[in-house]
Amino acid sequence: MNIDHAALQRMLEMIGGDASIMAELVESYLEETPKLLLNMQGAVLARSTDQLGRAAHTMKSTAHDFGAESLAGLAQGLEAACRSGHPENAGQQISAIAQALELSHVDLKAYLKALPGG
Amino acid sequence: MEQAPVSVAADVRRKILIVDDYKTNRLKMSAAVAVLGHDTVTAADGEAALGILGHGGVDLVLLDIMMPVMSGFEVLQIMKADQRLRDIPVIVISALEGEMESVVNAIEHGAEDFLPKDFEPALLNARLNACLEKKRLRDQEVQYLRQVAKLTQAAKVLEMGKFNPAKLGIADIASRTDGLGSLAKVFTTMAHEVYVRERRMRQHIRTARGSLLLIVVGVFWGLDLPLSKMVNDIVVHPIGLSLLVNLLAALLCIPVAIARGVFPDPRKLSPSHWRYMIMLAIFASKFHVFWMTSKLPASTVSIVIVLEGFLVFLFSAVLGVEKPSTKRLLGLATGLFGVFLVIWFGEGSDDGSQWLWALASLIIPATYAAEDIYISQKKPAELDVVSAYIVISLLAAFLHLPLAFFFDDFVPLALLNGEVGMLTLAMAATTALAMVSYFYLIASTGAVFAAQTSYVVAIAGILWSMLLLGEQLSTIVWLALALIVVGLLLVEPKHEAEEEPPLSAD
Repeated sequence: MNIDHAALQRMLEMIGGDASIMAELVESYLEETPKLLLNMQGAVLARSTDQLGRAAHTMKSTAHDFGAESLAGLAQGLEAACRSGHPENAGQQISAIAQALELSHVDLKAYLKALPGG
Repeated sequence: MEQAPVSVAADVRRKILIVDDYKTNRLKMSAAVAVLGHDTVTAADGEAALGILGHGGVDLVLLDIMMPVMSGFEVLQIMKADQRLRDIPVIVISALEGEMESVVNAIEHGAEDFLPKDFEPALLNARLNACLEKKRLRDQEVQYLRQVAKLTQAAKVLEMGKFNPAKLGIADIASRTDGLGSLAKVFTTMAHEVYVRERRMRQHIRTARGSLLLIVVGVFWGLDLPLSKMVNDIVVHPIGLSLLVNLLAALLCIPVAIARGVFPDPRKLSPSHWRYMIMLAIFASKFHVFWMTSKLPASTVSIVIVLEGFLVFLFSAVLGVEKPSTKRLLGLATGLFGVFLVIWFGEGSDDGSQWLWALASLIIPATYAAEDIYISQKKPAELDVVSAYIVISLLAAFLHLPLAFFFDDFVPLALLNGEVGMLTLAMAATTALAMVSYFYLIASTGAVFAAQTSYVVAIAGILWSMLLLGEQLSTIVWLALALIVVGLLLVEPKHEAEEEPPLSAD
């Protein structure tokens, strides 16, 4: 299990238990996180630590929101490396992030299907 | 026992602006805030956020600190530097770890509070409500202080003796239900009472002054008729006489203008001034009056002049200045019938054509009524009455010249040494006095009130004619006069000068 369902339950409560809005949020996660990953890869090519750190920061908090704790942990590691100014193994870290992201997508797609009306 | 709601603001819908560059976050925040009962609007970057804020209506901003291009911190700085935006509370959103410094920085620069990215819904609700309630109290306080300042200003205005309630500008404060509202109400009510009293008093003064002027105008104007009849008994030159009377009237007024230091400067007169004065110069011609008094008894012409009052009422009704009614129309008909009796049965020239001349004399009240209305509608306020009258009379004299040449109608100069000269001078003096008073009268009381001069002119004309010429009225003319009086009573002459404009327009 790559997703902490308690986090999803928390978010569902926060938005008033509306399954259709929850579905919209999950879909947004599925659409936006690949763009964040591309953004990270672009930052490495452009050698922009700042951009990489910001993307890692967003990835961390959105992964945390959706209960993808291992992805959140990886992203937080990359963000911290960027803040210290030495993201030495950025390429490897991004590969790990991509794998964790892929797994979170599998679980969240399943969750989406299980939602009422999904 | 049930507990009262914790927050007052919770049941008030507010508009919350959510600023975050990451779409999923905007969706999440929007949904969370909407659940709490507020309206939301979102912006993906700082610039868009400032654009939305510029349109107004936002009650609170939830601001992400870490954004590309323009950071939340920059947005906050711009907001705090803007007079219109600085009072909108801002809650910054941050992930806390690694961002503590920017959160502290934001709060130091005026952010109201902060919210962690993975906030608890209860925390969001509590912080939103606390900020909104603080803003509500602050807004109330600011409004209260502003209204106290306005009330203080109104008190100063009252102290200066200006009582127009519309000018106090405290109507909105008077609608408050607290002590400040009561105070504003007392101010407004008292100011209104005093103001209405003052207006009534000013109107009474204008009416009293108007009545006096009315008599002056009538007595002197009425004198014109028998005087011109006396000239006509010696020699009949109506155009030449009108020319002379206007010229002398202007000359008589010049010393008055010089004494008052208001001699007209032709270079300062605008084209509209000239139009007005040329129009009045045409009206100032008296040759038709003098011509009629050569054909009819002065008392008959006097009675016909009464029609001016009826005509001004008629014109005013047509122009919508005064309301016509059946009673007034009946009065008009009665008056007209009385005048018809005078025309038909009145004494006149011996050749039996007197009724034709009487009919022709209707031109006199018609031109007087037109003049009355023209002056009341067009008189430029900045023109001095006496100096304008000098220019008008000189123009009138000048306009008579070609006519006098054409009809060879000059008063022979040789005659001016004798009685004709004395009579002409007397007519110039009475005309000048009557006209200047007449201008003042119209300016201070309005056209309809001023038209009542015609009644005084008529009565004065009849009395002067009896006194100076020994004219007697036949029984039928007395009867006609009685009918005219009844008609006048039905038309209800205006007893009061015109009212001042309504409060707000004052």
